[in-house]
Amino acid sequence: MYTIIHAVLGYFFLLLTVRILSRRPGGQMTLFEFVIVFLIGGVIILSTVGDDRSVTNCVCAVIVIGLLHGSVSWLKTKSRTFGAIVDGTPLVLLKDDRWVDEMMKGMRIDANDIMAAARTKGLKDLSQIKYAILERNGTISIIRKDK
Amino acid sequence: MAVPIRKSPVEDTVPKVNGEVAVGEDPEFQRKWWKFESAVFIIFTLLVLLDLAGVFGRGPLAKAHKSTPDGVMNVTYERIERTGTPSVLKVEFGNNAIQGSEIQLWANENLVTKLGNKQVAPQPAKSVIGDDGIHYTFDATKQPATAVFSLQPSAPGLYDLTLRVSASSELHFKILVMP
Repeated sequence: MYTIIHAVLGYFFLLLTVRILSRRPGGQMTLFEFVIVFLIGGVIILSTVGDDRSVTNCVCAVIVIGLLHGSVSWLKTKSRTFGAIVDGTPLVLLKDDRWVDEMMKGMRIDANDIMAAARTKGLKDLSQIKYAILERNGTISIIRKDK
Repeated sequence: MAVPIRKSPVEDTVPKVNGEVAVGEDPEFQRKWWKFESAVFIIFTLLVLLDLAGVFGRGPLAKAHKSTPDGVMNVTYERIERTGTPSVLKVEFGNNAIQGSEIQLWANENLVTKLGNKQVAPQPAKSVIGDDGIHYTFDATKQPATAVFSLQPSAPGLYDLTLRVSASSELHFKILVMP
């Protein structure tokens, strides 16, 4: 029973922690962010299974986390607000040759991050970008200017 | 007969930026979220500071000390413990505790059942159950005489612990076990 309670608490605590850290871990994950995700995951698993490392206990924990994940995904489709809480909303970072400073600063993103996304689209500089949008999964979408 | 796949019309419900790119941005929600993030960061920082201080055990505030007025017994223990984490409860006996080359100590049953006492050093010459607790008898010569109880609580809760050497020398205290 404790494993199920610990798994539920661990899942929501991990969700909250990763959600407030920043949106980047989901998308453009750097080595620096890998450290956070693996370390937090490792610590949570210790309290979830505790001393009981039996197959039964670990299978139960995996099932509980799977059910929670399924329930959260289902709720996201039913409630737009819940989806925004869990995943956030897309944010426009660059629009009509102007930075949206509030969003850039708030999301701790700089021009290098935008340019990295632009290069994957074959763009050579920022002047070729019409819109840069931070997506819910942490990636940056680039919409180029019409030629 | 195969059931036809249900299809519904596509509705352009995602709000657009500049009337041309469907993004679904919600800056107002984002501003609220940043406020929530700041509050969570403050709470997390407070939790870490409280943890360093020992409010959740294993720190300076968790350590405690109690003595009987007659000095027969001094107990050093952790008033806040953690489930499954080993700790030590140390009992120092004064001269008056030694009667006929032995010390008799009674502890209520929470010492074993709730606080998970598994080991006593030195090993008592005799331990007898009864009277809602355990009577330990230690062979002793003279001061200083110390008995160390190793604890490892198995469940969270607030537990009463009573230690008694004689009718007049009794210590009663509470130990909080964190999850």
